Amino acid sequence: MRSAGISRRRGLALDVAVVCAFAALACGPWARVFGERMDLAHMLADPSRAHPLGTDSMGRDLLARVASALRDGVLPLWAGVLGGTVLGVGAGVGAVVAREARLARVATRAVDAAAAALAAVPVGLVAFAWAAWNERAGLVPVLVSLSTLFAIRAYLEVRDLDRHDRNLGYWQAHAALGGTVASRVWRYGVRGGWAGPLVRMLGFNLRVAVAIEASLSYLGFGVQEPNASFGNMLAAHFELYLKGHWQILLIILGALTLTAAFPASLAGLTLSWSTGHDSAVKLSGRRRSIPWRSTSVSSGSTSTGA
Amino acid sequence: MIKYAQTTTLILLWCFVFSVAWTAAVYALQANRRGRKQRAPRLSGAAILPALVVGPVLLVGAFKLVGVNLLFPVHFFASFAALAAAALVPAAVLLVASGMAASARRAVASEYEAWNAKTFARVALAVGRSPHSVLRRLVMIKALTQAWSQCLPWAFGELIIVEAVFNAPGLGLDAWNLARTRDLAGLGEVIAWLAGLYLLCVAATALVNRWLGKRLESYA
Repeated sequence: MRSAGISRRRGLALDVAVVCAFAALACGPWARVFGERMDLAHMLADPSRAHPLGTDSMGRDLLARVASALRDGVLPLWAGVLGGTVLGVGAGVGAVVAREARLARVATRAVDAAAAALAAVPVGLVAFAWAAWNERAGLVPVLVSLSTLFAIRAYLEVRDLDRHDRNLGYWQAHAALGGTVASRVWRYGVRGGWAGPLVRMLGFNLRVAVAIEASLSYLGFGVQEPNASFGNMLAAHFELYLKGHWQILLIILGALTLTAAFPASLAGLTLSWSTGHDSAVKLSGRRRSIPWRSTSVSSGSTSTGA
Repeated sequence: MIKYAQTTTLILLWCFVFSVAWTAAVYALQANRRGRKQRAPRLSGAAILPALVVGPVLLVGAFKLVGVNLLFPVHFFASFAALAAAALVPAAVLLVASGMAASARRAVASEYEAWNAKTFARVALAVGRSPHSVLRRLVMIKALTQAWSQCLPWAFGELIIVEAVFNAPGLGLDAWNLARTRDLAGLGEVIAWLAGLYLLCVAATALVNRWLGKRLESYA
């Protein structure tokens, strides 16, 4: 019991540290303070007071480059993914609410089948093929393809949650008492038991989006120089790693890992703040609280607490 | 094109072998710590460590610390054994980067917990047999199938980056080169090959799932 409390506190402390570090990196005025201009006299400089993380192969301040990659690459990408996910959730909720009508039922079935087929396609491959086909590198093709794919995945997630939850006793009791599907979906779904899985899904989407954008930029189909991205920074310095310049590799990979960890930490903190439960249990995906006092759904079976 | 398909298949085959070994190891650990309280995995979902993070670190680490060059040998001059050996590390990176390792770990834990509570496991214990040996095959196959079905799209997405980092002459690297030279016809052909391989893997996973479903009906 005590060790569980300690590990919970450790998890929360880790989440807070990740969120604070990310916020400082993304929102700090690093480009203004340290400058992002090329300075060939100070290429690959070691960390110093003038350049806290050192400089890259063009003499640009690495801290400013990493902050620029976050601000100009990652944050717009996340806005797009967030928009796509919200759109997908909206479409899913719409489909759930409209399932009573016969015509809508047929249409929903067709949309479900198409969405399931599209969702099975590898996201990374689609984003790569889309960027190559458009012959237009940059953030926009990556953003459009990822937003579309994550909208489809969010739609399917909502449909899945509905398929599971509509058979629960309190959903059926609400229907028997004359409650509408819309009120059930809003009250028990979106504001209740679905919030956790949807936040987790969003966190996962944001994390994957960062990895895919970095991969595409590494391959030369994402963000292009002189704009900064983790992928193109890694690609530009690949030769240097083999010659012993570990510092840049470690800094970029550290920032990439921090960025990938940020959504999960933020989701964990949000869930623990909103429900008062620990984030580790919420993030594990094993337990979903539902708005019925102390009743909870655990691994598919309903159990009532004290 | 056959040459590229051969390398990609080799990497995927090694990835499968590693996933089986990993699942077996996780099962052994799971069975040995049955008395202790299980802790829920901290992170959920796939693609926890992207190949772009794991690949360069392994490549540079192996070269600098051990003096081993993990880059692929030139296909034309290399024997099959050399190619097979070179595909080992990219396959291991693919296993981690696609989230298959994490997914298999989670699946083993949940399946073990679920099936260990069933009557046939209790009966095995009552007649003096070990429930772990009764459950081993069932839990391993189920966890493995689950992990592969969940992570196959991510594995194929990460394949390009793994092949690019390790310079493996596979379909992913070829697709990258063709896209850079704007050879859309060639790119279409490579994507068709990749799609074929992907469909083959999906079909195999679906077949195992169906076979397992039929077998498990008797347990329910």
